[in-house]
This record gives sequence, structure tokens and C-alpha cells, in this order.
Amino acid sequence: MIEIKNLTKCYAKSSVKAVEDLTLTVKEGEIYGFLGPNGAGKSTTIKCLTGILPFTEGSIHICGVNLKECPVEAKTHIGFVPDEHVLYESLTGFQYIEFIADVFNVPVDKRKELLEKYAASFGMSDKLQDKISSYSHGMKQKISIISALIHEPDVLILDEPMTGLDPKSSFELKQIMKEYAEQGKTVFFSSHVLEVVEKICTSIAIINKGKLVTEFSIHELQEKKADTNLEEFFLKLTSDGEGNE
Amino acid sequence: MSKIKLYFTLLKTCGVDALTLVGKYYGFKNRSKSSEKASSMSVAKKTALIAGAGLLVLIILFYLAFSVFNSAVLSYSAGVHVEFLYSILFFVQLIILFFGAATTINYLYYGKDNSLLQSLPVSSGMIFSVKFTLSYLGELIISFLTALPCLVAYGIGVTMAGGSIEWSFYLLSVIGVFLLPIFPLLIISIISIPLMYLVSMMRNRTLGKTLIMAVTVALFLALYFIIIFGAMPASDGEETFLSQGFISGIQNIAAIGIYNYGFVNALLNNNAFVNIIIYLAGLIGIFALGVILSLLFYAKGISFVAESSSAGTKRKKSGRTDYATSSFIKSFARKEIKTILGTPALLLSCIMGFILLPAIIIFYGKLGMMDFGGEPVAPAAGFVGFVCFFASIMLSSTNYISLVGFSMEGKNINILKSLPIVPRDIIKVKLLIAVVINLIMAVVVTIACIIAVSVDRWVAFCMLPIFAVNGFASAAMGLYNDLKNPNYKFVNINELTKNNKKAVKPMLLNMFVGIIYFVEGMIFSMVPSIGEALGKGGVYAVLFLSILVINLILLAAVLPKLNKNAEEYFYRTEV
Repeated sequence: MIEIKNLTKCYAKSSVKAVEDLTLTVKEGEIYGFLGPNGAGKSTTIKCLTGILPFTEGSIHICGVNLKECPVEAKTHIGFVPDEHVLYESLTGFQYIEFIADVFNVPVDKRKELLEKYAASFGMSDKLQDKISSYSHGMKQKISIISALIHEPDVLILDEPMTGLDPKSSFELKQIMKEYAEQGKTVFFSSHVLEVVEKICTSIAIINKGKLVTEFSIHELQEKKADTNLEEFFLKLTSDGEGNE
Repeated sequence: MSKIKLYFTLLKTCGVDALTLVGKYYGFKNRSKSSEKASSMSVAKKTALIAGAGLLVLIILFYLAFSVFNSAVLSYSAGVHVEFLYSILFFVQLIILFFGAATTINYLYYGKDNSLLQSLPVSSGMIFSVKFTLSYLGELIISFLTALPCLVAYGIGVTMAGGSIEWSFYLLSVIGVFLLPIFPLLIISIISIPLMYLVSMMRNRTLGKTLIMAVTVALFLALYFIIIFGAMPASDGEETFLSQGFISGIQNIAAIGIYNYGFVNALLNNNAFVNIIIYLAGLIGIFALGVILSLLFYAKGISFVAESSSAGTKRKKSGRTDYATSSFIKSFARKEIKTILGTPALLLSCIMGFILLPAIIIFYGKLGMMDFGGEPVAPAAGFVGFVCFFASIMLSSTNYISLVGFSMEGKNINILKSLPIVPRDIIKVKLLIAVVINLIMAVVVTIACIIAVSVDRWVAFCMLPIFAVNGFASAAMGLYNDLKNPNYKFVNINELTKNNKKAVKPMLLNMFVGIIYFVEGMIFSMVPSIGEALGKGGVYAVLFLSILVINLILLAAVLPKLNKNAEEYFYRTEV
């Protein structure tokens, strides 16, 4: 599970708080949608959550492990799909997955089983021997997703994972996320595709200008806000009155 | 839109990256967030660094100008001062060619904006012209640093020898800074067109491209050494006359460099106006040839590159699918090696490191200037000191695997940060690979010494461990400097392997340290009585031990820092 307490992040030489006093908890078995307009602080939060960015104040616990105090141990629980398609382009897809599997000490039979399974799901089986530099954006995204899943993480963190995916792969990913949650694992992801969030998430948080605006379960949205949908609700909460998100 | 207006619009737009490069070169700021933090170094430290770099450049320029001045005086006395002027221009253009070859090819074929430009309704000749201009602008600094001091020193030298140099010579020298890079860069641009065809036919295009670039640069380098060392005044103790080798050398260069006829005559005020017009007309003619060729072939060349990057290497039907576990160290080392092999600019820098110093030693040797066998020890020790000095510079300045060891990760650094890895393990691997590269260079230099220089074998063999320790120290310094102040946001790899002012600091330190070896060697060489007193073994023991001790001190200073600050520096840069 993920526990974020009073997270505040200021970038170097900037007085603006990219994330301010953010507190939230994501339990086992939850699919947690993290929403917000561009520049709201979603990616910064995710980068703090995955140990990429140091944070100014607050604490983050991954499966009970303090990320600041024991970063290596905390990261062994995380599978991360970044928003940028940045991978080691000189490697083949297979070599990249092997590299990540080596880092996480995934046994040979396990990595074989998982890679074959996910490569087939995403239609990448015959592309694994190609260099990543030759991949399309969608293919890079698929390799990034497979690499995050190859060690069966307890916490799956995805930053706008649907970007670039074809409909079938998008469907497969949603299925995988659901399976993960059913196994009692935690899925935390950011997205701009509100329909997807509405369909698969169990809980949703909306962040704007670095601050948590609201947090609710999908049942609450369905029950309490039956007169509106997530899109209208999101726009209402994040509109700055100037027509901009 | 008129063609000229379109040209400037494209130049302005495409020039953003180039200007960023030039900006970095001149010290303008375009830094990642942590580097701003790191830049909180004291003003005194910054000033000292800038002053140190400036001093070193001044020393080198002074040495260059002084050499040209001496040779100009002697060549005037020998009646070959016109040929010597041709040699200077040729020398400047060769330097520009050497530094600009890889950059020009990168601009022309590997710019990230190529696909965008190709999709626009502009001719390939226009794209070629814009890219060529960007490459030209980038090389002006080299032209300024080489052409101006050499030409001014030549003018003063010839005047002092009794020759007549008009004021227009100095005015045209300044103009020459802008004119001289055009010819060599046009040549490489034109040569690159068939080269890209050749690369496109290769099975492994990345390696093919690197090898072709390396061979091309090496060829020009070989030409450079043949001319420069072939034209060196013989050090036979005669101060007033030039050797016949030097005279015939510059006469040959004058024949090769006949394309500079117009500019040479303009400089010497022989129908200056007409000759400069002739020279400009020649340049315009070659440029037009380049544009015509680019209209025919350049678009195809870009397409080949785009095709090879989107289609990748030809798929291996029998590629490795056997699963195997490895330790992080092994797995990461494999990733590093594949990245180096797959990044021509990095691979090229390594290969050039292996070529340059051995080439110098072999050329010296083949010119018969390195016969140091037997007694006395003095000249040989002087040479060994020089080789150690030069090796120190080369080990620190060509090994970009250490100099930009972290920067080369680019935005992939975020992947590494998100993985359960201890930064020290990453450093271990990067340092290991950098040291191995320096070790290979040390072995190659030692072999070159054994083959080409008649110093005692045991002396050459003793140089191997010395170079190895030197290589270890310079790799550690380079890596530490890059970890402390990385550039993960580079757009073009040239930003890392060329015009990278951040990498200058460890290079400078190694240069300053290397000067100690050089001075030591010079002292042994110039004061033979020391050699007589210490004996051959004593001289080399002093020289080698001092180098060893200096490098061990450097290692003792930098390794604990690398270890202690690894975590902080690794995580503090926010990309």
C-alpha cells in the first residue's frame, strides 16, 4: 500500500510549491486514479513516490517501508511506468526486460513466464529482438509496461499509461490492472482519460495547483453525484474561472 | 516568402539548438535544476576556474603564435614565406576539418529536426544550406583561436625579418576567421553525401557509421600529422636556417593548398581586391556544387538515416531469447557497453583516443626523431616526460565514458532512480568501464612506444602501469565531475562530446598535472648532469615515481568524494 503524508515538493530555486501538503492513502486491492489538469503536480507526486525526486517535506511509505529512509527496499515493491517514452534505445526490447529483471532478481523461469504472457497480451512477441530505437511510441510504452510488471510488484504506479496504446493494448492493460487489484495489490495511476478512470478505478483523487482538491470512491461518485458525471465534476473542480484548465 | 527570407526563418528556428550549444560554449546558462544548486560555488572558485582555463588557452595560443613567428622569420630568410603562409591556412583548415567533421555530419544527417524539415515545403538544398550554416557558425570559435594568432604572428615575423606586410594583411586576417572554415566544412559536407550512401548499405548501420566516421577523421588526422610533423623544423641546433625537410614540406603544402591562392595573394596585397573576389567566387562555386549535390542526394541521405532509426537494425531472426540471470553489475555493464557501441559520438571519442596519441608517437618515431637508445639518458627522459604529459591530456580528454558517464544517461536517469539500486553500484560499473577504456589506450600507447621509439624496452614497459594509474585517476575525476554537475537534458549528443564546458574542469586539472611530468622531463633533458649523477635507472625512477605518487594522491582525493557524495549528487538533479 501507499501512504503519503503531508508531501510538499518545491523545485530547486523555485518558491512555487509543485505539490503542497498532500496526504493520501492507497490501500491494497485498490485501483487509484490520480487526476488533475496539466501542471497540477501529478507527475511530480509520482516522481516523488517512485524515488526519482527528493521531496521537501512529508513522508512516503510503500508497503510500510519509508521511502526516504530505505529507498532501495521501498523501490523493490514498485513497478513504474513513466509518462515519457524514454528507454535505453541501444538495447532490444528483450535485453531491456532482462536488465530490469536482473535488477529485481527475477528468477529465470518466472521472467520467462511473465515476459511470454505479457508480450503476447501486448502483441510484442515478435518485436522483442528489435532495438528499442526502432519502436513506435506505443511499442515503447508497451515495453515500459512489461518491464514494470516483470517482477510482479506489490505497487504498480503508472503515469498516463494509456498514451500511445492501441485499443487492444489499452484493454489488456485495464484487465491487468484489475487482475492486480484482485490479487490484493495496489495500482496507482494518473490519466487524462476520464472514461477509463471512471470505469476501472475504485478510488479517485483530484489535484490542482499542487493541492489535493478532493478524494472519493467511485461508489460515492455514483451515489452522491448521480446528477453529474466524472468529466463535469472534474471540470467544475479544476476550472480557474478563466476558461482554462 | 522569398528564398532568402525562408532561409533566415529556417536558420533562426533550427538555430535554437545550435545557439544553445554556442551559448554553453560561451558560458550562457541553460542548466538543469540541480546544476543551479551546484552552481552555488563561490565566485572566487568560479573566477579561479575561468582564469585557469583562460591561462591555459593563452599559453597554448602563445606557444602556437611563437612557433609561427619563429618559422615565419626563418621562412622569410629562406625565401619560402609565401609557401609558409599557405601552410598556415592549410593547418587552420585541417584543424577545423578535424574538429568539425563529426559535428557537420551530425548536423546534416542526425538532427532531430530533420524529419520535421523534410515534411515542410522546402527544398533539400535549402535544408542543406541551413544545416551547413549552423555547422559553420559552430566552428567559428576554432577558426578564431587558430587563424588569428597564426596570421598575426606570421605578419609580425615576416615584418621583423625585413619583409613588407601591409595593414590590409591584418584586416584580411580578421576576415579570414570567417572565410577559412567554409572550404573544409564544404568538403566534409560534400564527402558525407556518398559516405551516407555507403553507410546505408551496411548491415550494422550504427557501427558502420561510426567506423566510417572514424576512418574519415583518422585519414584527415594522418594527413595532419604527416604535414605538421613533416614540416617541423629539424632540431639540429642550427637556429638560423630551415631544414630541407621543412622547406620541401611547406612547398608540398603550398601545392596542395593551391585553392587558397586567391586569399594568400589578397593577404600579401597582390591585387588584393581581385584575388579576394576570385577566392569568394571559388567558395561560392563549391557551395553551389554542394547545393546541387544536396538537391540530388541529400534528401535520400536523410531518408536513409531516418529509415535506419525507425526500422532499426535488420531483425535478427536467431536473436538471443535464452533467459539468464545476471548480477546487477554484469547486467548494467552490458547495458553500458551496448549504449556506447550504439552511440557513434561516444564510440568515436573512444576510438579517437586510441588513435591520436599512438599516431603522434609513431609519426615522431618514423621521422627518426625518437632514437633514444643507449646513453645519454637526457633526451630520452625528456621524451618520456612529454609522452606522459600528452598521455595525461589524452586519457582525460578523450574518454567521454568518464567525462559524461552520467550525462549520457539523459532522461534515462529517471529510470535508474526509480529502480532499487544503490548509486555506488552504478558508479562502480561506470568507473570500471572508463578505466578499461583508459587501460586499452595505455596498452596501445605502450605498444606504439615499443614499435616506434627506441627507448629501452623496460622503460616502455614501465610506462604501462604508470598510464594505468593515470587512467584510473583521470577516469575517477571525470566521473566525479560529471556526477556533480551533469547535463541530462541534452538535445544533441554534440552537447556532451563537443563544446561541453562542464567537462573542461577535470581536463584542465589533468593538463596542469601533466605539465609537471613535462617539466620534469625537460629538466632531465636540459640538465644532463642530473642524468649523469642519477644514472638511467635513477632518472626514470624519479620520473615514474613522481607521476605515480601524483596520481595516487589524486585518486586518494577523488575516490572518497565519489563514494561519500554518490547518493546526494545522484538524486539531487531533477530532470
